[in-house]
Amino acid sequence: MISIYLQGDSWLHRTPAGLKLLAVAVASLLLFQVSSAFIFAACLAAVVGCYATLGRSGLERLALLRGLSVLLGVLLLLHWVSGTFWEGVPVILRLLVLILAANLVSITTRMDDMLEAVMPLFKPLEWVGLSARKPALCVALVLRFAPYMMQILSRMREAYQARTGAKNSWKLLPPLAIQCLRMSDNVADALQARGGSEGLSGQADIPTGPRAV
Amino acid sequence: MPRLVGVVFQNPDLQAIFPTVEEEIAFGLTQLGRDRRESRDEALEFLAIHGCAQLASMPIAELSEGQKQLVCILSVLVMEPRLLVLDEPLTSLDLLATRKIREKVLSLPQKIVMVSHDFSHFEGFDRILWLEEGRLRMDGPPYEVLRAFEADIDRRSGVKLELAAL
Repeated sequence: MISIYLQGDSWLHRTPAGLKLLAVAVASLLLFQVSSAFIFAACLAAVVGCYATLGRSGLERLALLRGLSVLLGVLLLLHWVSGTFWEGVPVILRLLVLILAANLVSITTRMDDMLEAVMPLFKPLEWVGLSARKPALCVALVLRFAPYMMQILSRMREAYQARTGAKNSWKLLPPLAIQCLRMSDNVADALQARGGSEGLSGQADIPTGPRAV
Repeated sequence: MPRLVGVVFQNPDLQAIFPTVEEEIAFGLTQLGRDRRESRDEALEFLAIHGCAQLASMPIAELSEGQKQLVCILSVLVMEPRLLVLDEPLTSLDLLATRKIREKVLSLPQKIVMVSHDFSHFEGFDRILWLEEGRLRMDGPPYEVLRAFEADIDRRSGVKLELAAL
C-alpha cells in the first residue's frame, strides 16, 4: 500500500490543517499576480526549505519531482513550439511551486484533520437535509483506496505479462472493473460492520443484561 | 448490530479505512458518537492498554501483516462488542504472528467466533461447528469434532470444508 502521509511531529505536522490549506490557497492567488522569475526562485527555495525542515525523509519526498519534471518539460516544450517560451517559464515555475506546496500539506496532514478542515465546505448540504459526513468520508475513502486500485492493476499486469509477454492490453479493463467492484463491496461490508457512513450515535443503545447470541 | 457483534474480515487491507493506526481506532469511537478530541485521546489510551502505543502514529500501510490484523481487531474491539466474529484472521500470517494473534484473541473477555480451515488454530476453543456446503455437519467439543473431521479427510480428499469454533 502506498501512503502519502509522512509520519512525524514537525512544526508543519502541528500547524492546523485548515491553516495549511488556507496558506496554499492564498499563495496560489498571490502567485498568479506575479511574473518575476526572481520571486518564483525565492518561493521555490522557501518551499524546498520547508521540505528540508522535515529532515531527510522530507527531502526524499521531493522524488515527486521526477514524474513532475516530465509533465512540466512537455508544457515548456509546447510553449517553445508556439513561440512563447519566455511566457512559459513563469507558468511552469508557478505550477512547480504550487504542486510542491500542496504536496507538503498532504504529507504532513493526517486524514481526519484534513476531513475536519474540509467538512465546513459540505455544511450547506445539511441545510437541505443531506449529511455532510458522507461526502467527507467519500473523500477519505477515495484517497485511501485509489492507491490500492493501482496495486490491483499492477498485479494484474504482472500476471498478464507473465503469460503473454505483453505489458498492457485493453483486455485487462473488464477484470479490473470487476475486481474494483468486488473491492468496494468488501470495503462497504467492513464499513457497515462498524456502523456505516452515518455512525451509530443516533441509534438507541443496546439493552444490557444477559443475552443469548 | 455493530454494537453487539464486531466483525473482523479476512483482508486487513480492505478493512482499514484510515491511513494511520490512531485514526483507524478513533473512527470506531466517533461512530459511537464521541467527539473528535475525545475519540483521539481514548484511542491512544486504548492502544496503550493493548500494548500498541508505539503503533499509534504509524501508517497502516507500513505495518507487518500481523500488526495490520491486530489493528483491525483492535479497531473493532474499541467499539466494545459483546461478540467478536473473526473470518479467517490467521490465514495470511506467519507462525509467530499467528501465535501472537491467537493468544490475543483467546485472552479477550468477548465471546469469540472464529472461522478457519486449519485446525491447529482451534486449540483453546470450547466448541467447534463443522460447516459443509452451507450446512451444519457437526457441533461439539473440539476433540470430537476434529477427530471426526480428520477421519473424514482421510476417507475422501479434496472436498471443501469449513470449520467455525466458539
